[in-house]
Amino acid sequence: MIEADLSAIVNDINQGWIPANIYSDEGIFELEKERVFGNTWMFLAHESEIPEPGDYVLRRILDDSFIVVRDDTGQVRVLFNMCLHRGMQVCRAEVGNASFFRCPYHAWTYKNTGQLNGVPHHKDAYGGNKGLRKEEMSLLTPPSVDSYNGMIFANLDEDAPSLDEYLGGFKFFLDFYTRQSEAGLEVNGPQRWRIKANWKIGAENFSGDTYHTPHTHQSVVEIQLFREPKASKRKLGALYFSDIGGGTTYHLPPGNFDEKVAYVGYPESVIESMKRTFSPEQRAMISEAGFMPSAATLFPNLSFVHNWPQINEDGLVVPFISIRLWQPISATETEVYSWFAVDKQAPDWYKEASYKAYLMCFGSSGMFEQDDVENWTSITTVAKGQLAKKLKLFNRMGVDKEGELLHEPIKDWPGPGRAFTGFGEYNQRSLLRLWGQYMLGNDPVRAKGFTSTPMSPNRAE
Amino acid sequence: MEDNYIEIANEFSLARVRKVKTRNGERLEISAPKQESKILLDPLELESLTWQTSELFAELLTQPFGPETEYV
Repeated sequence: MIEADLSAIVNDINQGWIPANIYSDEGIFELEKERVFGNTWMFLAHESEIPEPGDYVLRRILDDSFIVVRDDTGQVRVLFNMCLHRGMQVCRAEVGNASFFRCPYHAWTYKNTGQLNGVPHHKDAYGGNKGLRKEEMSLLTPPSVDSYNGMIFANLDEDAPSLDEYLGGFKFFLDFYTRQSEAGLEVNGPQRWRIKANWKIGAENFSGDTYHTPHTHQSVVEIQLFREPKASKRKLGALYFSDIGGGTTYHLPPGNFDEKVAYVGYPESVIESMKRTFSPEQRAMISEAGFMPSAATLFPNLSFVHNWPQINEDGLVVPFISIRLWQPISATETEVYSWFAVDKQAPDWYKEASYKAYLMCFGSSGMFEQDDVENWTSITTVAKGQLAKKLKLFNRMGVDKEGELLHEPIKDWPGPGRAFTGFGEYNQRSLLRLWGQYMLGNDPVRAKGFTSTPMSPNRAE
Repeated sequence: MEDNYIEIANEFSLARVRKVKTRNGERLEISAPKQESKILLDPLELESLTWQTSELFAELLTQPFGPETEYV
């Protein structure tokens, strides 16, 4: 991949055309590893996965393995899972509880703070502290680690903007999924499985593709799992994008905040806690504007889904939240991490019903999931072809030939960023423009250039 | 003697624990099968463990496989 090719690709993307082979080209993927995943805040785990001292989970940022651990003092740490001696993976169990990690190769032993603690034959082999001062050696940590609403992120870039700066206006929307009460989330999972699809396709789909739902998920409607079946229902929702992420919403029937939240199935106690934790603007997005968040993507590869299926024959509607990570394996393969998330303070009956709702729709056995993946693997497969190198996919829904918007943004949108109703690929374009800026080595967060790239010289989104 | 072991294991190690009766009292036997080591602790020793900090165990694990012979 030469830089001239990349400039042309990004130029196409900025004009609303997607060179099809960006979904299969290994050269592009190699650059993504460095320029996208090496420079953005990557989600690793939720704090509720490691509630007790010594609890840990293993997570990756592509090829780098990390131990995300709560040490014996209760502090959350992210440790690079590579022994300081000969580079062996210190810990290989995906999940566990330990005060010490002992490398299987030569038994160098580390405290769960990462500090080197024990070295076999320390005196004999190294002359004791004369050759190896254990207290000066710790497992590496990523250059930047931070958390938001219990979500632990790391950034491999030493000069990265802070997590707060990175999340920017998207925090407003992130709260709907992750802060329904003061107690925050508890998560279950992740389920993990691999799909033969490029990681960007899922990220784009969750960011703004309301257009696929009525068709791709028709079978879900036919068995009455889903109460909002018609295309018009999706069309009435808002598509929003703010800074580093965007998503979709459904439009709710008339009513006040309580009635609208109850419509999607939340119990009274959760509605009360939402009223305490959501800001007036966040409440207004639901009550006055009438929009309830559904799916979303935080660039590059972290998505959320919030939906409310009917979970029994009596038509009981219960919402669920899922957090999902599109972890790239190669240009044509992705490991999906899917967590079920629920408010920690919610009643037990609700947690159970919500889990059922999640399993029916998403996760490896979920019906929505299987519908989607068939499309995504097929796109990736045909994108490998020779002719695909010449095809530029049409990513211009919502703008005319000159690049003028077909619809005005929503007036009085209560949140940050910009939002539209109707069908449009505004969010997919925004997400790919971010991708393009990172691929060219321009950090859009630092440059504050999220929305400044025009679609065409005479207009713009 | 009783053979009802409780096993405590993780990726790094395995330990077996059981209550051992002598003619005149009880002790807790902790054994590490892979290291072929064991220790018998009486109630007072066990009680004293409850007020140790992780620093004690860090000190014990400076030798990850137990006491070593240093060759000079």
